[in-house]
Amino acid sequence: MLRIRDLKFNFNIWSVLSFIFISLIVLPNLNILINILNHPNENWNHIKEYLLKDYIFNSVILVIFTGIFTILIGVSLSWIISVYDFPFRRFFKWGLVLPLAIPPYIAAYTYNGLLNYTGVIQSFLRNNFHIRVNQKYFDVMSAQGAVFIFTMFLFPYVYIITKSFFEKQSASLIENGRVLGRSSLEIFLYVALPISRTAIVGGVSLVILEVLNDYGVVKYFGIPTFSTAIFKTWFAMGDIDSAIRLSASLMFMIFCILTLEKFLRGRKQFSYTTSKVRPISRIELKGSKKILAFTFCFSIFSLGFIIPTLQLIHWSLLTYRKILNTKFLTMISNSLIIALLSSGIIIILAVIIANNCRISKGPLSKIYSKIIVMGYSIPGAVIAIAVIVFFVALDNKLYWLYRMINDTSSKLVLSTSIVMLIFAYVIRFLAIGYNSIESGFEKVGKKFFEASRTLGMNITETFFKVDFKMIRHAILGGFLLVFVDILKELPLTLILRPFNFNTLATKSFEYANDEMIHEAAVSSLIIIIISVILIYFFYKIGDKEAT
Amino acid sequence: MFVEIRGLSFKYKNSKEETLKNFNLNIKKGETVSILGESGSGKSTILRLISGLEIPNSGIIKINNRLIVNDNTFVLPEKREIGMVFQDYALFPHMTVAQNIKFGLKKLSKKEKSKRLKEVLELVSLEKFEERYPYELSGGQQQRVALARALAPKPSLLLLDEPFSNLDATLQSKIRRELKKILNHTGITSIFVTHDKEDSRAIADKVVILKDGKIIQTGCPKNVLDNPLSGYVTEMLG
Repeated sequence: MLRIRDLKFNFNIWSVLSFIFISLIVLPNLNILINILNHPNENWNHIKEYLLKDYIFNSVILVIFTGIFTILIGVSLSWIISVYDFPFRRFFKWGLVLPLAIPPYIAAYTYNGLLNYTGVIQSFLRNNFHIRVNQKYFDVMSAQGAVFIFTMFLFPYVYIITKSFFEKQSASLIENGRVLGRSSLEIFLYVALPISRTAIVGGVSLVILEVLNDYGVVKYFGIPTFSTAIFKTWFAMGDIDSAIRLSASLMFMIFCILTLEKFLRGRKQFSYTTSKVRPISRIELKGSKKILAFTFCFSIFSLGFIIPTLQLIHWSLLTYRKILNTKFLTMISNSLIIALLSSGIIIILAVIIANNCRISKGPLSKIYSKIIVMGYSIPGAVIAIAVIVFFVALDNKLYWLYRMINDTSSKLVLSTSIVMLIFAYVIRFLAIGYNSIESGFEKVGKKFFEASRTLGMNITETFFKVDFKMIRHAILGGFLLVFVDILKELPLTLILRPFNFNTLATKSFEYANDEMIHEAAVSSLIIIIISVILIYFFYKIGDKEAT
Repeated sequence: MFVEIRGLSFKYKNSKEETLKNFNLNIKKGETVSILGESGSGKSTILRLISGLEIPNSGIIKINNRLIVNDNTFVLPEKREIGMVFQDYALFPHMTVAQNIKFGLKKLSKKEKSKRLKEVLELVSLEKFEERYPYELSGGQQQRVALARALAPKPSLLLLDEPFSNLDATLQSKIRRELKKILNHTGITSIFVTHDKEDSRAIADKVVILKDGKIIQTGCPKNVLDNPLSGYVTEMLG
């Protein structure tokens, strides 16, 4: 029964704004779904007959193998780091997060340049030892190569989530296992792995979503997957209907993965509600085990960070004189401004919606957070189509308005502007900001909010005087994460940017795609340096919060 | 009657049973009423409904002849002029004692704010603590700050949620006496919720015993606590 009184209870500026923002996110995606109902054209039959199988096969192969390898590497590293003490452990603890600072598409062309015939390794072997290697083993531009790249640069997702789970949840269980006389390996297999299943599944599903979102690596390596297929159908064949159909198929696959994730996580939530976190007392490794642990961490760190970074530094030194000019500076400022602007917008939206969901007792708020999380699981290629179709339709509807303002206005105004790109970023990255802020609110709880209300402050006054100050770390943390993600983002930026608008990411990719790998190094390196610094700050904030 | 509650029912979204069933209560001006019950009896819910933090499924609440909630009306919590002391005090950790107390005085001028601050600090005997932060205070001091903060805007009604549950048992009788003194001094109408009959005996003018959202017995503490009507009350009172 709807009563006006209840509306008053739930009706405020926060709930109104949340409703508007969420509707704006849902509309373009609904549009995609409705388009599927149209009759398929001939082109689609061709795609279905000859190509679709390949797309599915390649995507599935990449997802499965990357999933397996990231679990192996991510979980073993998080276990070693949480349970053992060995030289440089403290450094590796956050150093192993750094591969995330290198976008996979940059890693892809860096490793290709490193390993191909003219690359530093083969040249060295050839010139010094007259060794000519079998090219088969050095060809990174293959499905195996893509799995390698995705694994080395996405495993931190599994590592971070599993590690924080080990640190927070398992101290007493692991120590119990030790007291009961089990060996470390047994404890790992029979205690740690089962209880951390939820964390591992959570981490690996992020990896899988990233793999399906990827456009840069598979395009550069020439592996036909859903992402590349959507772009090809759309731009090369000009067939937007089929592109939408492909998008829908991809979304169906993602839907299956998300369902599987839910199923795998199971009902078993092995988590304690106590807020007191007791660190695991770590075992100091000795002798060969010590060296082994160090070597393992160091090898992964080298492959995932040191080697590609050194290679990029080398190339940068070769080319920076040619590259650094005013155009390049414009590009840097483009990148920073759009990342700042979009992250700012995303964080403001995230705060408004998260605050509304926390306060509101209505049924909508639960749906809101589901929709936001869905946004992150939609691959860039699909969002790109949805957003373009939506904005072109919007421009058609608003043409009369443009004419009123400016007689000679062209028909496409919004869809040729930066607004469209920012809009797409919001759909894709809102979840990241939202999660950060939601967990900030959760930590604070509602009691301060309620105390403030009984002291005569309304929701908005309470937010600025009380809540904002208490969640400012969460706001900053969310902002940093979103900023880094937007700085690295490729597919959306590539398609939705206005004409002649270049960012560090798009320029790196264009250079690499034009076989100018050395020239791509400077812009890539800047992305990596900024990301490393911000990731470092993010962890500083986290440490501060913990103490 | 100063506080009039009639036919109040409430159900939390995710629970099947009503937390509160047809609850009625009248309170005279200046009276201190204690709601006594075990955890889960719905006693804190009553305070949340009166303060406007929850909205009842049905029922009427009037304070000083002003209708604050019925089937068609809902006055927002910030407009109710009801003071509340939370179970864990909910002192804003980023504000000093003075800032916490002044928080609810937004309508006053700067001068009036300082004057009122001095008054309530004196009332709870914490004159020297205004620049401290909550974490620099003992549990008993924190409670008095919370009380001072709730009283500062001169609310018409004061609600206290388990005011003694977070304090050392050895301090309880002393703090009960202090609270009783402060309430008497201000002459404020108040409702406090507790699970300890000694709290009720020491402070309340009237006791309401609540079980599963229903009133079982009500009356002056001496009568109720010494002559329990039902087996449950006897058992609960130990």
